[in-house]
Amino acid sequence: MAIEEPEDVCEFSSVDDESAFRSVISNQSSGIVMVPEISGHKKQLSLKADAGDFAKWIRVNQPECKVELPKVESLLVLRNSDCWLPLVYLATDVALPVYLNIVSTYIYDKMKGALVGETVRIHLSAMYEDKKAGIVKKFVFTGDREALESAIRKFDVNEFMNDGRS
Amino acid sequence: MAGLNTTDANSVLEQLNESLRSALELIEALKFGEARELLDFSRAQLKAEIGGYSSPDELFLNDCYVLDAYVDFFFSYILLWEQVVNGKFSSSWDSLQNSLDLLRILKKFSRINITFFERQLIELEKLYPYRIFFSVGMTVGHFECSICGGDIYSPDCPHTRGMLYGGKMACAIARDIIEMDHVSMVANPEDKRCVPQYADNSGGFNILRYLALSISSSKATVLSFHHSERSKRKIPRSEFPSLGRNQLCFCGSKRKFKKCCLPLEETEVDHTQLVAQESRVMDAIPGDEYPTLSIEN
Repeated sequence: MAIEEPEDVCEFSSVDDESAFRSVISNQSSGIVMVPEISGHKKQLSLKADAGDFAKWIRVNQPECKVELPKVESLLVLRNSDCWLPLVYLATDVALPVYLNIVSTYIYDKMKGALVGETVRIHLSAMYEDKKAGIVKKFVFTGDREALESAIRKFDVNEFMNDGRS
Repeated sequence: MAGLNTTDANSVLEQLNESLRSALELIEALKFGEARELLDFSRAQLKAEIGGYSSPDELFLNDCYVLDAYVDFFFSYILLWEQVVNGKFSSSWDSLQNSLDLLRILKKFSRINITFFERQLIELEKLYPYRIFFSVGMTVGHFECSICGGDIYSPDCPHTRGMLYGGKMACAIARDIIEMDHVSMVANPEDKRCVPQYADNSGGFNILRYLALSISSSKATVLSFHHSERSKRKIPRSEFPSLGRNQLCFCGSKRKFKKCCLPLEETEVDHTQLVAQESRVMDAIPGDEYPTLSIEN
């Protein structure tokens, strides 16, 4: 018996209900806002497992980037080796590639001390406004750091710019 | 290259390595108890050495944490091989995981050469039957910082989980556990100790049992275990009769044996070859390349 790894995910989609994103971003003109999500059997709002470590890492290592970690009643803890990053809303000053590079560096630091052959699967999602199209988009990614870096390389910078980041 | 960040700690490390090499010699001779006694003595010496420094700074204290982990690693390494050689395979899994955790600490906070042990223990891990692990999902109220007692994720707490401060590691202690949400079966858990247990005499430990036998019968030594190679091998089916190719098949098909069941005469089985390489204690601390000596399972 073996457990199959889920396939890598790297996709953009438009968001149907933009109200939550817009109400938060209207009060947050810069940086990254971490967002609680419904999880667990009780379907309660909680932050993903790595939210706290990731927020603290950004504060220490990327102090120019403002990060908002909301106070929630519960934190979801998963004891597998994957890195579960919270859903984030990106304000206008943080382009998606910039955010993905922050994640990549965080994972690099997190994996210091990893033994030969050890990797980590990253789960992340980010919402941002595509100003050109006037819509809110969501980016979802699952894969290892190599896949993330490959995704960052593949994304044409101009395409991101056209995605309304300027 | 110096393994630690301070000169004082590096001179302690140099002395410690001498004792650790002697402990490895004892492990090679399967004198696990004596190796442990030597480590006890080394740890006492280490504490006395460290205590002799009047005004230790932050870097030195953090180096002391690493030195302590280094000695802990050897205690764990001794226990691991003692358990393997004595057939306590189930318990040895925990010792192996402890050893690997300590290697991660050494790798994260120092440049101590652990190449030999890292490679060997990763290879040893592959000999165990564990491929599926349990992972607990739960919700908690907050995480307390083991250093300052505050909420470790609040901006007020200056400590980062897993980093060293004054010779102590900052840990996040789960407080206000709200509920155990689920238990998952996963391939890559955070803690590999959560496994379905196998009994020591189960077939799952056959390869490990063969390794233990090779070591206890002096065909190999602890340090010589290098890696395993897995392949498929064809072996004759024991239930097959010895028929000539042109004789009628035994199955009653009235066809010639060669045109009937002959292709099924052999069956394919998993085969594991344990590869040992001659090694000296000086190669393990630090590691080096070795000439080859092969043992077949």
